[in-house]
Amino acid sequence: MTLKKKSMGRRDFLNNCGRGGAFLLLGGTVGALGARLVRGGEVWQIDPNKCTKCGQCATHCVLDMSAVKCMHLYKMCGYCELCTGYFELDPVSLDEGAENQVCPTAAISRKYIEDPYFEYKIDTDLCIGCARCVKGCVDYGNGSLYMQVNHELCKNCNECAIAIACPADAFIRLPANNPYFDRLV
Amino acid sequence: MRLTRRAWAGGMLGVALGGMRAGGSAANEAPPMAFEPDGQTAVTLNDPVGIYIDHKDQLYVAGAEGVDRYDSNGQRNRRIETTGAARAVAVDESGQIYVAQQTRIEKFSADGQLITAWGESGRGDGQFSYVTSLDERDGFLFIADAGNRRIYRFAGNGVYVDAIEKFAIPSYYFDVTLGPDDHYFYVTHTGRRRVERYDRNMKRVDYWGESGAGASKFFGCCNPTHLTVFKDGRVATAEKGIPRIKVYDPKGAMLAHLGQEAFPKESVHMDLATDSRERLAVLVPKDRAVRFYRIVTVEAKKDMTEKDHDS
Repeated sequence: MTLKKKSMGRRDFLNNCGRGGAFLLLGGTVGALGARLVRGGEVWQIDPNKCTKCGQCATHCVLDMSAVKCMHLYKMCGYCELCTGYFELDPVSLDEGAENQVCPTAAISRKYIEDPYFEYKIDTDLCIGCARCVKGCVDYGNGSLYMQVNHELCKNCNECAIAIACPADAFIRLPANNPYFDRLV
Repeated sequence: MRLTRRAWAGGMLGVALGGMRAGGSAANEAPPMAFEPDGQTAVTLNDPVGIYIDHKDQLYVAGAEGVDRYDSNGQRNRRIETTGAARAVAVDESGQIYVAQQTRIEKFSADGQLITAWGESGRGDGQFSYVTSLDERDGFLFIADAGNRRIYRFAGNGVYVDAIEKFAIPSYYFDVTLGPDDHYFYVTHTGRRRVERYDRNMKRVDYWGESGAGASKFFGCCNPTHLTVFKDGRVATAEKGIPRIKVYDPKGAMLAHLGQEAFPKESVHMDLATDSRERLAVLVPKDRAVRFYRIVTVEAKKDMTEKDHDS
């Protein structure tokens, strides 16, 4: 007996490809949904109203450089000449000298707007999440600087090492489609 | 352990510099006067943010529900309900009461009847953004608007007169008060961390104040937040961030200092006023109280403390 190999026509080939692609797409979607269902569709975030600016976000994240960064809400900022998030409590002078700055990595830049206002910007690549600037801003200024988990960096571990270490229980779960704390609400 | 000559010299230089620093600091900061507590009045309004004392020594407190008035013995004798949260209050010679809300001024008779009201939100002449303080003299109202960063002058019937503009006000703290001699009014220019004095033509006469964490300086982004003026021209100030109150002579030299250990942590809105006995009234919202202090010499304070110990 000889086996005769049935040749596949072009239409059959395309149909099979289409079915395979649809199956893959379906599988991928189900997989992604499943993964989100496992995590409850939520991610870690910091409640700025509970945060005590203890500095542990910088040291307890599993990443080499913490996924927690300082964020700046410009609507709340006073554009202060003497920004207590930027300057040490009793600076030698009000300029960009390293000895005057509170940030250990010079992640905050200061730009003159008009007398006596300055704009402050956070370079998230340099920010290590130590919260020293946030402490200065919240304790003595308007509180426009605050700590947030950056979800472009966060691995969203099931058991967040910083959340475990946080002395203020400031780590909360937020919906993954709205993962940042709205301070103006 | 044997010290080398260089180490010994370095050590001695360190001691000398340390001594100079400590001595200099003490010489600069040791104030000649002190605060002596002299009673307090409990406040029942929610979110109290402003106080005023009239010529009869009646205390007015502005808060969420309106204004409460207390007689000179601390007994509440009237509540004036306002349409919105009251942010500041002032009283004229006849007892008429002006109450500031965020963008509205309401004028009441001494018995609490609404006489007139005005104010609209905006950036234009006479419009309000965030009123934080007001004071009245000779039929004119001086109104501090932190949102628009202006001091307005209005007639008592609500007619806009003029304004001083371009103050640097980074946050919602901006105080204005009339001086004792009717010629001047005083302003907390918080973004520049100084006290400024203006004449009745709205021209700045002088100013004083220095940035820094030192006791005699004004700390942080925006201080002093509140002020009041004694009959002899001394100025009392209150600060946020490091909550503290101080008294300065008319030229800005510090006379007395009451530090953050005397106040609840994160205290804000510590509005000030003086009464006819030259006592300083300090609103302490976190304690829901208005505290009274007499400003006495350090020696007098020491005597009082010793007498307290003896008794």
